[in-house]
Amino acid sequence: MILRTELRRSAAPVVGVGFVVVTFALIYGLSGPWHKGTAPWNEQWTGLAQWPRSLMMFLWPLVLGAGAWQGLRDKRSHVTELLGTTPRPSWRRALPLVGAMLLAMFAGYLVVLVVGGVQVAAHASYFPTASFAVVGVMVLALAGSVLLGVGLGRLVPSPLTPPVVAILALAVQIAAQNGWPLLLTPAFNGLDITVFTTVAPAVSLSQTVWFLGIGATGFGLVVAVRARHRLVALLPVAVAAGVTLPALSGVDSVVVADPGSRELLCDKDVCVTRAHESYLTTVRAPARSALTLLRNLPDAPTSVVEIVPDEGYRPPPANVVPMFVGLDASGYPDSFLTQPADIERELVGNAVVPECRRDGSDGWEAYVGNAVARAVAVGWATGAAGPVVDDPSSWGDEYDRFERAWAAFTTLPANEQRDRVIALRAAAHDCQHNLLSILA
Amino acid sequence: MTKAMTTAMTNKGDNSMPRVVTDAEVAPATYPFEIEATGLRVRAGRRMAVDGVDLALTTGVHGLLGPNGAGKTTLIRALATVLRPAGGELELLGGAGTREIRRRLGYLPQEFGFYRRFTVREFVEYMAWLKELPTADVPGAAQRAIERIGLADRADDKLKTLSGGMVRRAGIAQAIVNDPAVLLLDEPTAGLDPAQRMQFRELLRGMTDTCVVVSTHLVEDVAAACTDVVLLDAGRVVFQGAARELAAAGTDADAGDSPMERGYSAIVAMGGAR
Repeated sequence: MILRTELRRSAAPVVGVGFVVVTFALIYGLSGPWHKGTAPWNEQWTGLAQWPRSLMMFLWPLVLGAGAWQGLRDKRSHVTELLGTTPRPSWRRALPLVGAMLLAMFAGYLVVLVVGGVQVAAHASYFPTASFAVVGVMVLALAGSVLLGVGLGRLVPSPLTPPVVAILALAVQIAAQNGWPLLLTPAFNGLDITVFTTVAPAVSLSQTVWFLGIGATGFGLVVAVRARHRLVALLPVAVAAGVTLPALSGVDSVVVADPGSRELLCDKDVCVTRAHESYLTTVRAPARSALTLLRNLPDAPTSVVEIVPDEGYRPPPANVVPMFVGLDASGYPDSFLTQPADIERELVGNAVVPECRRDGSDGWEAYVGNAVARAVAVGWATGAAGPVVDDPSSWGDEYDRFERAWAAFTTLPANEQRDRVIALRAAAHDCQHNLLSILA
Repeated sequence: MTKAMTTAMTNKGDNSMPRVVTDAEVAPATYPFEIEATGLRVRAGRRMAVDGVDLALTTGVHGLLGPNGAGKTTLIRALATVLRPAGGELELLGGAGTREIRRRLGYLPQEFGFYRRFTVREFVEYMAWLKELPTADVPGAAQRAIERIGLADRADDKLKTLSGGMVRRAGIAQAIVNDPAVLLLDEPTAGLDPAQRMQFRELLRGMTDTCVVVSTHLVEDVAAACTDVVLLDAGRVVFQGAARELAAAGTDADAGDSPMERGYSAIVAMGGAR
């Protein structure tokens, strides 16, 4: 009965509805990375588990601030003296309020999971069980943050507490954005999110302990009546820090490879990873037509295999056409190709001029030169009469350069064209630079 | 405490409903006074606002009178278990533990704070729950309390929409929701209009088996509703007796428009002279 009252009259409904509204406003209002890469939030279970964690970058300060605002209620309402004369212990008195706040918070998160989950279920072929750990930590982090917020509101019952807490939380996250201290907040760095990786179990375990400590301290602050109680309330977070800080500060990488997602599923000569199983039907036909186009080259490619570009990636042997899905060779998010002609062109390009992992030291000149060489080779292989690039507008001023290279290349005799493409292919597989000079 | 032995009907006619009565409620009191203070001293900040009060109060309505700063609110806050005595002895309900006292206490502070977004009913129910009434009894107890102070028609309105007088009545409702053995009301009639004050006095007169302490500076409230008067001045009890005895203490020479006021003035003047 009292819980029902608190669900209606406290900040709980605002917190629950606010969580949903802000999350979807961020997801659908911005063309953020959560729509791209190998693990879009509504296409892969990994993405659904991890992107809301990443969005906590924006939401965490709001959750803490809302909790602090709720924590001020007794002071704001001048009821401290009256409630202090009632027999129910303060921890028992706090339960309906924090229960309502937590229920609303969890309900908000559940709505996000359900809306995303319905869409993911239609796309995803791979369910990594590690996602449960990511979601579980999120639940603990939300609970811990709400409790800490309410506790801070009680500890420093000033109208300035909620905004100060929220701003401090945001500042901490910005300061810690690329370092391990970010792991002390619920947020992730979005760059870590791919379908081929999962959050390291040691990280999830440490975060579980940490957020349990935060929650226990938060609840302790909510129910503390005397200064002595407040000191005792700090104990759980101190213990949690003692246990988790050594572990988290030594973390090399938040994510580790997820072998299950990388298993190859092959239909004869076309292979995709388990994570992209549903993509096989899309790529099968264009992959085979690409192999057919290239069958007359020496050492002709015989299979198309999806590659997960890790550190130290090198192009596979010439008889294998590397295929990247949702990532480029350097591991950066890329768009999914769905049109057969686009896929065929992409695979022919990969077969002749496979991408090498670049460290960025080559410079723009080399990058554009290689892209032009690749486009010319694709034009040759597909027998196109004119320039063949996927999106001329994206080339901008460099498009002239492509047209010139194509014009020069097509003046060469047919045999010479073939020899040059073969030479180009060998150099590219060797990750050489200045590939355009081989063609022109 | 063992649970309920008896099912009793309340005295509210149509709206009455069966209510579980605890053993403690029906057991005869084993103590002579609900409130017993000996040499009680209580600080308000650095000042010793109550400085050696001897008091023994049993059931009935006790008016606590005194000039501003006499220590009325500090005494009430000590009786309400808000302030710890700095000296002397204070025994409530025959020396019951704090939790038991609080279960059987009703308290309306001078500054009655409330959750603005709660309805009257929700707030009174919340207070009933905090006073550890059995959950099943909470809605009925809240309804009775709201009816007794005449707010039934506004029971489901939010507290923030109520006028000052109505909020004060809601404050009284939360204080009586647990049928307290000791009811402490600090300036309960502040903000009430004359009709509401008469209704409030009527309510007090009906509280025959409760030890009610009403702090007020309105002498006529005491005259109309209290069985007994405690007059506090400079932290001490300067008079305790029946209302008519207070009236008898004054003469025509003392300030005041009524015998009670003249008696009050006479005793305060004597205290000032001491």
